[in-house]
Amino acid sequence: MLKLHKDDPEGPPCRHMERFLQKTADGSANVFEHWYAKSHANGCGRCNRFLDRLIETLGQLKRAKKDPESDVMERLAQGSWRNPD
Amino acid sequence: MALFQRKPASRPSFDSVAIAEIPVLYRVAKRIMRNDSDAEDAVGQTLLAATKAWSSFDGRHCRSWLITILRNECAAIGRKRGSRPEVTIEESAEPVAEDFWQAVEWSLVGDQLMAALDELPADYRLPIALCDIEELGYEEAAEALQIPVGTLKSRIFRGRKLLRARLISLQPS
Repeated sequence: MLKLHKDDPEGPPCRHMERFLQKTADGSANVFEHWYAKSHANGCGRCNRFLDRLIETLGQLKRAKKDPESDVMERLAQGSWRNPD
Repeated sequence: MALFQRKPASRPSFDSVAIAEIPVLYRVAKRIMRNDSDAEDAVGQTLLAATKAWSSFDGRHCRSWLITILRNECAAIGRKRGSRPEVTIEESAEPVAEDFWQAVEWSLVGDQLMAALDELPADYRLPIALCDIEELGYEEAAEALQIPVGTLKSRIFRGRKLLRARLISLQPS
């Protein structure tokens, strides 16, 4: 029987769950993997905390995406590739 | 019935593709070169090489194709500069700090997050940049990096662990 870490949310996630949790966080899990990870996390403090934090980190990575400065964009858009010969 | 025949897909002009892809190419170049001017040079060279090769490109996974060219151009710039090769996967250890799983201060945003990402070895940095930031699919990213999909997934898995370790080390104690 697997041990669920209900009272120790600051420890590492269960080793066998980490891949499922990552796939659930990034949206690549299939229906079964998603259900399995969420069901486990609901009863396991460590995995639940890990999943929440990973989802937040991935969201922040996407939000941190910046477009180039307008002058860089302008130079690249008008660069030498327009006259390759 | 000629009426229902599918028209051959028309190919977009290189001009429209290039303009749309410049932001992505520039961000990926910055993750590879880790400085603005080299990134700009690399994207310029990439567009030049791509415009010459456009007629022979099969039209599949355009972004991956451009990123593959970009990686080659970045490598060429690195060689010209005489820069040393980066730390490889074998040399980068898994995080072992005792407080590895502690809460990260989530006020760390934007530039700090990118700075933490830029400290990872390229073998981990690029898969995360392509899949977690640019939101490429696994197949497309694997094609751009010229590695199998399974290898890409395992690099993302380990890369996220390393990134988390870097984020924790950035927190004020």
